[in-house]
This record gives sequence, structure tokens and C-alpha cells, in this order.
Amino acid sequence: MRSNPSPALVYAAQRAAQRSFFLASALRQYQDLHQLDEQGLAHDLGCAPEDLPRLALCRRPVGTSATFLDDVEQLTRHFQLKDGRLLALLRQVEAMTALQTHMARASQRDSLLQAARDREEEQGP
Amino acid sequence: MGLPVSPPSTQELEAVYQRLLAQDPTAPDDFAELVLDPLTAQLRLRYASVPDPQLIQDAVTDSVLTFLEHPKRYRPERGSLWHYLMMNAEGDLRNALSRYQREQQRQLPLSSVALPLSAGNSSLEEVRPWQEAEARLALSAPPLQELLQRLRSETFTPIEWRIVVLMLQGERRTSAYAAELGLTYLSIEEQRKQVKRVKDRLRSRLKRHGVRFDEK
Repeated sequence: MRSNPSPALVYAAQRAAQRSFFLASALRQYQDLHQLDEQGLAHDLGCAPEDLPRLALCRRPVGTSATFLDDVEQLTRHFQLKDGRLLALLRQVEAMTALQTHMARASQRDSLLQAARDREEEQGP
Repeated sequence: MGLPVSPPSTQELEAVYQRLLAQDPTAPDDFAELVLDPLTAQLRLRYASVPDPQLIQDAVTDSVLTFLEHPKRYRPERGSLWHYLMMNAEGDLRNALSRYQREQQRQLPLSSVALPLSAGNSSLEEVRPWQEAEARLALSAPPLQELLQRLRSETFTPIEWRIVVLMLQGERRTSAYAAELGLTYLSIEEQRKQVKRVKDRLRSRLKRHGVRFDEK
């Protein structure tokens, strides 16, 4: 669509992956989940790999926000992505994050319960 | 490299800034594209002697990303948006430079004190090469002396310390190291292997303690 992104923009997109505000963070999670390189990610989204840094620097639509679908629609149009691909990507990443959070909490709860049992056993009847 | 040095026009910047405030999802990308290169170019001009250009790129990138997350922190009544972005990037760069300088001071190049062994003392059997080398190290700058004393007392065994001193002195003869390590009964080839192993290990430990060891 536009000219190739500058090296500074590409670098910023890489660093933005560490910040949940940016779409870069969701793209990175999706890549990790499916073990995709940039080509694979671009293919899934239906865009050129050169467009990925610009897409990555956009604000990440938040599933709980009232503007979520409008934001996804706007990004899809702006970057000429395949219909429904970005929405599916974001839903997958959110589901995975929710699952990871749930499992982390369950694991923490199990550890606490085990510690409580150990303490009871130590104290004896 | 030909980065655009001129800042974007106030109108351009203001237009994208308003889109940021309106939470347009594509605005952060447009804003970043507008400011990253000119900010980098201007900081490079102001800080031409920065030891590592990556420090400038990191400072600009991180300050812009943070701004994009919190655009409302900018108060128009306090000055132009461009000035605000420059101040942010410059502040981040100064912090990064301070950290960089602290890191550099921590990593003392020990090889800078390595002095050649004098030829005249070789007949004095009671003065061994490492002792002579250690005496020379005592003449080095106070911060280095302090570091060496700490390493000597807390990190190395006496034998290891002798080897470190010889390394600092630039001693290259395997026989000198083999003598300190008590390896002279081994074949020359085996001595070379063992000495190399010990020196490599010590070099790694020095590195872990923040000592950059540039052996000659």
C-alpha cells in the first residue's frame, strides 16, 4: 500500500511488542502461539509483510471496549486486511491470555492449598 | 544517513495529535512515522559525541512510544508539542547516558595497567614475576586499586590471584603460568592446555565481576 517503512519505524514496532497498548503485542503473541514468521503472519492477515510494522504501531483494540468492533473494522479497511482475520487473531490472543491467567491463578491456588495442608500436617492433630 | 532533520509542521503534528486524543486506532502509527526520524536526527545533531548511537535511537523510540500511550500528559499551555517531544527524548537520552557512563566506569579495562616486565630482575630468584607485576599494579589509579583489592580478597584463591596478575602484566610464556600452577612436571603440550583452561576460566570470572579484560 504505502512506501516501505523506515528502519526507525520497524525498530519502534519491535519495541512496541513489549507494550500491551500497541497491536504489536497481540501480533507477537499470535506469532508465538502459531510459531509464525513475518511472512506467515502477513499471509494470515492478508497483507504485505512491509505493512506489518505500521499495523503493529496501531492502538490495540480492546475486547471489552465499546469501540472494539469499529476499531477492528477501521484497521481492516486501512490496511486492506482480509475480512475477519484481524478479529479472529485478536479473539484467539485474548482467549489464550485469559486461559493463561486462569491457569496461573489455579496453579497459585494449588500451591497455597498445598502449603496450608503441609502446615496442618506439621502441626499435627 | 539522510534522516529528515526538520520537524514536521505544527499543523501536521496537531492534526495527528487530535486523532490520538480521539483514540483513532491508526493514529499512533501515523504519529510515529511523522516524528521518529526528525527527532532522531535532531538529537544526533545535539549529541554528536554520544559514544553509542543506539542510545539515541532507544531514547527517541521509547519516549515516543510512551507519549503515544499517554498523549494527554502533554499540556499545550506549556509549549509546543514538538518541544515537548524533544524534551522527553532528551530526558530519556540523558538518563541512558548516565547509566551508560556508570556501566563503563564499573567495567574497568584492566589491561590499561599492564606494563611490560623489566628484564633486569630475572636473576633475582626471590622476586617472582607475579610479585613484580603486583608491585606495579599497586601504582595504578585508586579506583582500580580498590577493585583489585576487592577481587583479591573476595574472589580469587592466592594461586588464582597470581595467575590474574601475570595475565594483567601481559605475561605470555606458558612456563611462567605452569610454574605458578605447579604443572612443570607435565609435557609442554599438556602444560599449554591446562594453562589455557585456567586462563579462560579466570577471564570469564573477571567478566562476571564487571572487568573487561583486553589481553594483549
